[in-house]
Amino acid sequence: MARVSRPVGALAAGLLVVFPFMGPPIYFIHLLAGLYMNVALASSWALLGGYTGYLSLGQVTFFGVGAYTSAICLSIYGISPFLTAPLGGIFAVLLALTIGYPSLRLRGPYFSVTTLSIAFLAQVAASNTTQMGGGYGIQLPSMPLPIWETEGIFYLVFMMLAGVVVWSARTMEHSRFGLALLAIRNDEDVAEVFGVDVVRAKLKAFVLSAFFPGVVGAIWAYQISYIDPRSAFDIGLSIDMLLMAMFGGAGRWAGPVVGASVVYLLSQTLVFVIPSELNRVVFGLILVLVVFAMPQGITGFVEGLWTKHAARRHSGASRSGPADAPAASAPRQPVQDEAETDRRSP
Amino acid sequence: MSTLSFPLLAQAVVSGILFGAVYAAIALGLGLVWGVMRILNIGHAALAILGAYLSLTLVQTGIDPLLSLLITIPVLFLVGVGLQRFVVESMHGRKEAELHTFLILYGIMVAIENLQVFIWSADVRLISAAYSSRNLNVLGLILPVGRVISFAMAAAAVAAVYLFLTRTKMGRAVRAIASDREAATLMGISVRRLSRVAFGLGTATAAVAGLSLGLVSSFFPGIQIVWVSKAFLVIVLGGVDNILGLFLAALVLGVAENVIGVVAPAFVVDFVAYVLLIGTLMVRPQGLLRRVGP
Repeated sequence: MARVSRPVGALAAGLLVVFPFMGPPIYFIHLLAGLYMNVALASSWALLGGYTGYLSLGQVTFFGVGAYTSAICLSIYGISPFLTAPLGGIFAVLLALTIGYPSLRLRGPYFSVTTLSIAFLAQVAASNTTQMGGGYGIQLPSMPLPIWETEGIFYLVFMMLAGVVVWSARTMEHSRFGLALLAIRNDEDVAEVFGVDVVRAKLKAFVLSAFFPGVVGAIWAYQISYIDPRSAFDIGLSIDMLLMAMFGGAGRWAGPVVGASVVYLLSQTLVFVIPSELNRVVFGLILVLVVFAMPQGITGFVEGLWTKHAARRHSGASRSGPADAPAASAPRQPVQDEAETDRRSP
Repeated sequence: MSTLSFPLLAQAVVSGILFGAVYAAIALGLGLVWGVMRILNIGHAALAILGAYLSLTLVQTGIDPLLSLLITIPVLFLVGVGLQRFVVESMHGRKEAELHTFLILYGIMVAIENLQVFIWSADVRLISAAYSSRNLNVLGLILPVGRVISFAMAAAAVAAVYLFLTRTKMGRAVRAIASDREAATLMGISVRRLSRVAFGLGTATAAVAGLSLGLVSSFFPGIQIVWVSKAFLVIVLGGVDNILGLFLAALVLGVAENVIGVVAPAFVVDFVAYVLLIGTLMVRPQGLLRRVGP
């Protein structure tokens, strides 16, 4: 499997890198740049939400902090956002440490509502800080290059960012740290008893999942060249991050990539078909359907099908009992599915 | 910004109490559903705003706001029963039932909010009745009639739920479920049926909350996020299984916001609730007024 998929993946990545140089319509460059941005955001949301089960509804706060950092640095000091983007990430991390330490002690809905409140507070604060342009926002000078080159640069930068986030998620998933987070998701108290430094692990995941939105926000501000509190701290973006990650299957590095691609391309297509207000209605309903039908997201669903198929083929060929069926590639998956179907509480 | 003279302070306190009842009305259903089902219905305020829009539409056809409740209460009751029947019950037995229920309710919240934008647009609305603009003058304090009616309605909803839970057999059964689901089943209580009733009752109070909100405060679909987090604050402050504590906490929030609004710039008021919420959750997640222990 890996022997085939690696060259194919490399080829696909290579094609995507040279894509803007092949002279496609500018709309497609812009569309894909947006896609990469969403992949980066969904994947960074999943670093915390997917592995620990702590659903943050406030990750847009860090996106906004990054956006404002680069906007202020550019409009006042004239420093390019490509240089200040890491600074945006650092400010996001500092804020995450301040927020995370106390709020990660809260579990379940308590945590979600607190983060939601913080995102809203950030918006109110930005609207009322005159140094940040208040409610009027900040106009950024655009890049002094023709539009083709500008769009191409953003395309490559967002692509690189998405690659870094996805790579981090993948590395994390197979590390001790990733396992510690999954243990927290399964049962936090048990994880603690088994020697996981729960507080530290959660905080680390929260900080990671705040850093990347900070960097992405910084670049986004430059690309869109005008930001205000409503767009930079848009609570809808928090919704999108959660939706994309859960749709694809948070808890697997590939999940947010698939989820962001499907949801983003769907939303960009839906714009032509149905009025934009209904767009979000459809999104909400999609989330409902996904949780009903595919609680582990698209990737979890496909993996489940594949495992079942492999098991059936194997037991058919060897004519032995189901005990010989190969262990599932993701052991937590089938166990959970069975638990879901056979027991309905009275 | 002005100095805080006594009449001004008294006026702020009274306005705060009147407005605080709206918080109580919204928090009531949220707390009831949480207390009984251990579910945070994050879409609760979106349902309250839905109630407000339904009332608004009925008022525009010439019906008195209070009479619109005859329609909105049953509608929202059925919505709640449906949520319990089709969402919560079908999640039972899942390993991460709590998480999945929360996500579904979140999806429903997003859908309801944006359906409202589609139907009623995102414009800011207010429900006005013939008497809304009149004022009562009591001991030198000005009491707008709309606010008094809104207060009375909200307080009546709180009282009704309180009496239901403490004075009726069905209400006692609901409380039994809240305190121990399995024991309640063993005692022969129909947990499934009463859970539906409790969820329905919780969302039915959103109809009253929506109207009392719409009479005193302008609203639009997106504002529900603010209301749901404030209602959440109220139940955190007052304790989930303590209706009177919840009412008191709501009044405290209303008064705090109004008094601070007199002495500080308007946007600071937005922070009051959140600072209280975050502070309380950090210091005492079990609620300020809640008894310690079982």
